Amino acid sequence: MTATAVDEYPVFLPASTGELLGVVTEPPGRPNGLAAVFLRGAGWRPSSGPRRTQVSAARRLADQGFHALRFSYHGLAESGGTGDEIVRLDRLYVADARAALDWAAERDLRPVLVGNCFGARTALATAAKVPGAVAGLVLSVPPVFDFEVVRRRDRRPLRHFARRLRPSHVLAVLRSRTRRRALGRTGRGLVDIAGRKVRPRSGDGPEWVSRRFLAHLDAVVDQGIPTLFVFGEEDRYYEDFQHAGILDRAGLQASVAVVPGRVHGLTSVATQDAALDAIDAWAAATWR
Amino acid sequence: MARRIDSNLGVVEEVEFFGAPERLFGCRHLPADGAGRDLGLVICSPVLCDFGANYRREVALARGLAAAGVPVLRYHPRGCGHSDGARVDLTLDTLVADVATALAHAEERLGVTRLAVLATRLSSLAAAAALRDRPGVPLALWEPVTKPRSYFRAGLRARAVHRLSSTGPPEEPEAELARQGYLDLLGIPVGRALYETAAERTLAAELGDAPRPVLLVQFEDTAAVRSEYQAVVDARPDVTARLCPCDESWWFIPDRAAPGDEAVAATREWILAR
Repeated sequence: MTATAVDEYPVFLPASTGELLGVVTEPPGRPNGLAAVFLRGAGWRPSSGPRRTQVSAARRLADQGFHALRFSYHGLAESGGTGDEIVRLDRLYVADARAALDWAAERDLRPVLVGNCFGARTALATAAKVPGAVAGLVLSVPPVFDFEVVRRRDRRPLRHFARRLRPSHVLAVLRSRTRRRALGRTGRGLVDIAGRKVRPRSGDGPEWVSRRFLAHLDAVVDQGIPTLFVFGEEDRYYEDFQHAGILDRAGLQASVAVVPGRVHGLTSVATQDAALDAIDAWAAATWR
Repeated sequence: MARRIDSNLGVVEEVEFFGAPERLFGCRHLPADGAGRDLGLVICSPVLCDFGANYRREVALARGLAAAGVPVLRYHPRGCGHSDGARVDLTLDTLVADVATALAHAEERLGVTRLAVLATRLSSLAAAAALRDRPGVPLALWEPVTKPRSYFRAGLRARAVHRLSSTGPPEEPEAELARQGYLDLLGIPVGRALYETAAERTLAAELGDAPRPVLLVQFEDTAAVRSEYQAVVDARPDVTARLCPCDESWWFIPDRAAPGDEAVAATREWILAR
């Protein structure tokens, strides 16, 4: 029995960020009490996922008895709310993911978060911040460093900021709602940095590894959440993952599937099939 | 059906699956005050890589028109997005059939007496074909594909560029089709029937002779209409060409906001004038 759109229905999830459009897949056979919740990467495309893979994955997992929910983040596709022009790894969409957790809880389903890139980081952060709420994690190509933060805070020359002090620029910022919001985000980021304590780095891997990522990972390990990491052999993020020794830190409940090609972007049908097969096999082995 | 009211935008959005036996995912964008005009719009999403690239523009146009009183139906063709159907089974004929299904659904559910259609890229051929027996229906085309062969040639070129940075030997399209039954076009399987869409199914041929107002929008930061579009303009007195200064790469989708506010604004203005 294969799930199709006949087994699906749309739903708006109430979130603090806006009403999020989701598509629910009901298992055509016996339900297993779990809900696969898909969190996609950054970008402007809908929740059908990169190369429609979230549709394929949802329907395949439904065949195993999972309910599945794929949804668009706030401000994207049919979802309400205002989206961010720049998505940052220090501002993950945990509020959106929590709306999906609430949806699952209302139906007595235990959520397994399936995230891709930015979505993987959001899934990990959500599992860390909502203890006991997540039954499992699939993290496809999670970046282990906060590149948006690095790019935006460290690489811009001082003259760039000096130019921004001109009265004409200040007036332009104050007149634009979007730019006022961006200024607010930057201000909050700087306050966050100023408030941080200097911590010892020993045991936390290379300097470039996100402390936030490690803290979330540690919280997930403490909860004993089964976790599957998925990478492609050609993914640069896989090199980072290996360099940083993440799998050792993730403990015995974690495993990694490495498939041919690049999982980031999924620009090959063979890689998509291999990644979906790996997720299917892990789900079947973990909740047989 | 899922429904939400966005009082900030002044629209109601209703999302549902429709059609049978295979179902299409659709979203209706309706004026929040219910006081719609007698004209509605059906938006035929493009397919393959273009599907995601155009998504934000389509939603923006639909919401803007609904707020101005024009109800809109957007849908995902079979083999795309949330709709039924395997990606590899998508053909020009399935696209044409989906346009017809969407038009019938819009007539039933939008509460209007007249429809207009917007189609983008390859879906332009399908929309033109589906409207052949509906003369007078306004048709807006964003970056329409004029010749299917040229479209796939561009896709194969994009793939060749992409493969420069990855492993694996190059393979001729024919050999690949024979080996696995589809062409892997940047992660989307293109079946033989779509890839080998007859060369004579050009935009000019699919538009036929039926008179209708046509808006042709070229996404390019240039002062001149491309020759392939100029030929369409020259062949029909009812075609208006608009240039919108937003270069869209189409085959490669960067993670940034899709440009094209000018295209959305020009199309909105054109539809409102119908």
